[in-house]
Amino acid sequence: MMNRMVFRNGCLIDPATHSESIADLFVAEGKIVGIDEKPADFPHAEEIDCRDCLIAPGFIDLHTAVREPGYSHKGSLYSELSAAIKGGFTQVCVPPDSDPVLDTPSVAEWLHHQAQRLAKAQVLPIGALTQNLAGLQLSEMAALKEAGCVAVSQTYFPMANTQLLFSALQYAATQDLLVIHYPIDSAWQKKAYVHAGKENLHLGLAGMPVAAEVAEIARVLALLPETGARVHFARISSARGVALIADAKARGLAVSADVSIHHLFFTETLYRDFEGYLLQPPLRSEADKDALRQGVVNGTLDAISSAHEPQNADSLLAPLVRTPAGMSAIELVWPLLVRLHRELNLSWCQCLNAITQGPARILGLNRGRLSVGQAADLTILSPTEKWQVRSETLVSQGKNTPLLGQTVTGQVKATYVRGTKIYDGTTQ
Amino acid sequence: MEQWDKNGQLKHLLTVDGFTQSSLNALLTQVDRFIDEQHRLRHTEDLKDKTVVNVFFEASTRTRTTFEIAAKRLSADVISVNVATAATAKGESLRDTILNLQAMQADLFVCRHSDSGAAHFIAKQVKPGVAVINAGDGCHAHPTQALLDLYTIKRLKKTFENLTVTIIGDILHSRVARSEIAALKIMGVKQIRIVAPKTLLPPMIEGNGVHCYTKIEEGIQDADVIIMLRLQKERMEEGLLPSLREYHRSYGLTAARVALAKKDVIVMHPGPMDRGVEIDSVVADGPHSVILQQVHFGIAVRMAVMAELIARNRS
Repeated sequence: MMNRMVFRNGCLIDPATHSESIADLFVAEGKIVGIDEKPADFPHAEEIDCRDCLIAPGFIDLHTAVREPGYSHKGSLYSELSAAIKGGFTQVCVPPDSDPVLDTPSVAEWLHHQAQRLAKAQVLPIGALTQNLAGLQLSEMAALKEAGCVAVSQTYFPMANTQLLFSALQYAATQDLLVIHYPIDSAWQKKAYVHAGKENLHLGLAGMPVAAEVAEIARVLALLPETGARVHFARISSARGVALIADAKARGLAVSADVSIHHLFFTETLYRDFEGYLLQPPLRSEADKDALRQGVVNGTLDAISSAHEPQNADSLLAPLVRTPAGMSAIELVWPLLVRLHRELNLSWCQCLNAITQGPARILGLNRGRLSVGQAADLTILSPTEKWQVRSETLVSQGKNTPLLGQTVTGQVKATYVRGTKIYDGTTQ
Repeated sequence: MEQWDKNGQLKHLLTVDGFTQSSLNALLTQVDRFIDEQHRLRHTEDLKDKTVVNVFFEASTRTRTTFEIAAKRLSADVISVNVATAATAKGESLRDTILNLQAMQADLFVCRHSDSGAAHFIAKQVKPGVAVINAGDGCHAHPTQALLDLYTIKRLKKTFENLTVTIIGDILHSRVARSEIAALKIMGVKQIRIVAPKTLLPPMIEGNGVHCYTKIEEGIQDADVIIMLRLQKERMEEGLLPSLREYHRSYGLTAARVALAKKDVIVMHPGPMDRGVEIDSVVADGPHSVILQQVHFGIAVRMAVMAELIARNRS
């Protein structure tokens, strides 16, 4: 029997064409075969009523730490991919900072096989830029690419050695691999915890100035013309960082950039009374947050990443500076985008572009759109339903989010990969 | 905030943030109950049958000893745990150390730790009725030092309103400076000045009632109170300063520099002092120095704080 279905009465959001309209969507054999118009030869089909819901392309995340292999006390492929589909994500980039490090094809292949077996979100591995992320020797990028890595990165193991970074960019360009660069100065990164700003005057924590970000962006930008590399800057955190990216784009450099969802909502004030969760890069000022939001609206920032980093509860039972950085976020991206939609008065296309079309373009994926012929990776969203964020309502093994205890608006109703329902929020 | 209960009563003393001028004044007035006009310390029964545990995760002589003496003068049972060589060395977490000491019926913890925020963390772990005094956490706060300095200033200068107070040294890494600045602001001193090279000044501190100077002579001009801070040797290795010699040349408190201040200036230092680095011996032992009086008043101030916390937690 052919796998046919029709999604009725939903509001179709296609960020690629900036269209938002209530229409029927026809799917057969894992592909979109018709929009608004029933295709010829489409007899019987399962009908799915999507009244009051949005239908968007499946979300794509640029950074989901699944914590496997190596850190299963913090999260597992099963728990984090379950959390991803509950959050509406159909593809997630997995960073290389696992144990063993994702610097050989075997780790990438292991991830692929395990993810396939689980039949949840698709895993897009990011290979290490250098062996063991040590910043000493280049990784086998040709092999990593063949094993399915969509990009290479040092994540938060910055390289102080400019000559080696230059070679790494050249070699990645040779293999036609995107480099995802987390701009943070290596010396500051080792010892600073929070933004060196006004709030920290009271806290007395080791502060990281904006200089630690912009100096690193500027260094990489300076290397680009001679290396020919394509670079994506991950997690811009400052107004000056956004300005540097805008300037680089205006000069025609092959760069893109994202912001973590956290930096669009939280600021340095989170740490009053030493509460909250540390982040890399640190949460900065209100003015920085506003500039980041503007960057998303005007397209300087191409994507929003969940920066999903689950941590185990035990590791958080210590003074703030002794706790590991990161927040569990992948299930909260949609409710936060609903907030952004309301607070900035954005269209759904504008909001969703940054987690669909935006990341798809960065990664060169044929995804993130609603058009005939496309794979039916879909997410059905309620923009009005409320739910309470509690340890029990989060599927992720990490409960490390400042939203714990809050009631949020925006619920993922169902997630489909190639026309197969992999998450059903209505039966939860 | 962690240190106040729902009714605005002090549960712990973690920071001077959140105090008002009248609540600070009330606390300073309490100090007089524990020290007489001739500076003689009293002996009371405020903490009778109570157990005070000093938990110092970081070395200290003066602060720990004055807290110990203060507790004993209040008739408490006092023990001091040298945690640096105890359980934490075997891998016990800070939380477990505190919970275990609490199980031994501690009523009041006096804590020092090298992490900013450690005192807030400890206050979150203890059960209701158990009080925590922050005796210094990282670069964050050292509230009893600020209180004893306020008390010293009040005793010697009578009022705060007309004073120019200059704090000199490693402001960036100083918990004393942070607490001091907050306390002096609350008390409404006329001018707070800080003096340091740019490498030791916290970013964005200028404004908000604080005046920054990089030249010590300008910062000291007509000051009523000079508070010196200790310089830690780590600052050279971190690349923030070239040498102790150069620091002394630019920021050391010499007799010639003291002469730029008001004639009746008082010179304070939280200790321990590094003679010949931040302060010259002729100044430290000179007529303007009130450094040893600070130590003495410190006992009475700590008695007042402990008595206050225990009285509130009794009621």
